[in-house]
Amino acid sequence: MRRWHMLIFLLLGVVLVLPTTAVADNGPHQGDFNPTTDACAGCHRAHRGQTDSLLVESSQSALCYSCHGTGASGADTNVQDGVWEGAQGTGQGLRGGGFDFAVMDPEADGNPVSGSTTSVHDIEVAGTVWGHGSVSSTANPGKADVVLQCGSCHNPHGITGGDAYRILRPKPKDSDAAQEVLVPDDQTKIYTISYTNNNYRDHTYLDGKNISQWCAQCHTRYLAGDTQDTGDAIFKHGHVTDDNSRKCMACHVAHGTSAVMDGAYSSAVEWPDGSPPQSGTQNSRLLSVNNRGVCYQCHESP
Amino acid sequence: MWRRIRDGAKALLHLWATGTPHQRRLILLLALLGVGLAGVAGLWGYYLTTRKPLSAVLPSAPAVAEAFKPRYLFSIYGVDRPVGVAVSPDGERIYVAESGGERKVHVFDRKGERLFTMATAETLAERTPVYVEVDGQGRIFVSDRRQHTVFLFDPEGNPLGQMAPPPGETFWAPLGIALGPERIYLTDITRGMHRVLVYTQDGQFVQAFGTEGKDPGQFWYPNGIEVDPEGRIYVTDSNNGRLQVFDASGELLYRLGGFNLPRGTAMDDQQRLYVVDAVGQRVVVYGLFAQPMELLFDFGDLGLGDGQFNYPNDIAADTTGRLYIADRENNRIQVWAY
Repeated sequence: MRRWHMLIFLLLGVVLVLPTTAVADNGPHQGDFNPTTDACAGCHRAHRGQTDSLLVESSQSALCYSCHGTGASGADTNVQDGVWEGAQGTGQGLRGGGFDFAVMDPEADGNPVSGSTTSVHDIEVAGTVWGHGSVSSTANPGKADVVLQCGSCHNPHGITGGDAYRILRPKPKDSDAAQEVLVPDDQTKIYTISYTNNNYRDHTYLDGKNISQWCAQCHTRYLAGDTQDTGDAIFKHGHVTDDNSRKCMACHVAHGTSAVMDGAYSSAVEWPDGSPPQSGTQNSRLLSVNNRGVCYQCHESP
Repeated sequence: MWRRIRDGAKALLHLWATGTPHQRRLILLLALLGVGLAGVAGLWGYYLTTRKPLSAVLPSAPAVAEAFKPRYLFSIYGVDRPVGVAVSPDGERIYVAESGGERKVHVFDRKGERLFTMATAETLAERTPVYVEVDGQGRIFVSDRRQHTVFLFDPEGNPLGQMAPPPGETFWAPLGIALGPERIYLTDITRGMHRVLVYTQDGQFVQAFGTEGKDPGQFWYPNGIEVDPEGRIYVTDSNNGRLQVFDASGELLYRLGGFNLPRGTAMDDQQRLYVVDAVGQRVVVYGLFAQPMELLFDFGDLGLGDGQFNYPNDIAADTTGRLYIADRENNRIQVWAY
């Protein structure tokens, strides 16, 4: 009988511990939350919030930059400079690049440098979500006037349903996605880039198909299973993106890049709706290598 | 006894009736003296039986402090996202570490005129100054998040060198700086070992205390640090949202919560400790005359106007009653005064 009691207690213990385990690594912002917690009021106001997330402040990015910005006195991930501050020396580049600066290897010569960003996933300003919408034979320039914030893609509280890579929301805000795409996390956190293996393509632990599906929650029409005619008026043919070898992040970074498009062709690529590019250097489209060097990373023998 | 009093009174009346004018004046004086003494005794008795304790009569320390809050004077502009600020003890020079722009340490005079700038590394990508302090000799200490060290400059901004990590360690991440009369105190956010480091004035390592975590006495991104004349050490345990107070040996004395994101600190010569709450958009002021410290008041709120904050990160106090606050997202140093 005593054995049964011990077994019941053991099972009860497992049941109690399981939810804790599920969220333990489910985001770095798990504060001291308990039935009488004081932690919520650190960032939120129940009735006097200044944003739709009831945040105490009006600028979500400024709030995030308080820890994740330049100086980064509350985190090692400095997304403003695109630097991992927890490393020796002057910092290693974050995989996502950065919003103001990015430590990258845009020359693809194994020598990463910090440079001003030339294109970023704009935050706090209205922008266009290119390729947003279903495949259509009618031209659709994307979803306009979308204001991205850090919380559009990341959930600082963690993700329900399992550990998520970079606490990415399974359904990004304003994505209009019908289904959730959970990008599983890896218990071994790798925040920085390996500059010895084609830089940003080295996401060995990340399921490429999965991350591409996540990107396609917003950029719907970029997800392509093959190179056949999709029947889409704009995105008629494209790289296969729903496999592990040609995931979105093989060529693009998520936050911002310092790559420069100063070539005659690369600097003149129009936007998906046919509008002309802004200027050569600002036309990098979040690509990780100068000009169209990303092509050469895979197609090494043109 | 009553008979004696009665006999005495009869004798006085007899003397009053038969005595000389001099004797009568003497009797009159004695009578007035007796009445006066009785009156004083009565008043004293009334006071002793009806008096209130002093604390019920005088205003409390916080109430007094509330009446003497600092007021906004002006702002120093021309800095980009300032995160650290210090002032020389005589109040003549203000030092500002900016996290944006050129990421330099700007030196201003008391009127806000820029005197010169200092850089902690050659290129912009290599430097990120955060906190700055200045000692009685005019030596300027600057922590650099990117360079992972604390740089020293002379009063004119010439490099003097840098501090070293504890013996046997090659990597560290010093952040907050406190300059005591005998020791230099640093907060350190080396990954996995957030702590406080203590050095001698000439840079020799003395001791370290604290570990990374959320329990009492542990740290999670400690930022600001101060030391009082009794040797107590005050540390903003930033990501744990609290202020922890230690004795000189590093033993935890007590901790105070209620912050959103406590960052930089300052201590003035009137026994006041200032803590900047970056997300709370305010400065919280404590009185050091009592231990545990007594909350005196706070000031500031969110906004872009004069005296309003937009993610303040650090504060400095001089001996003339002035306060300087690094108002990060408003790109300015606010000057307040008592």
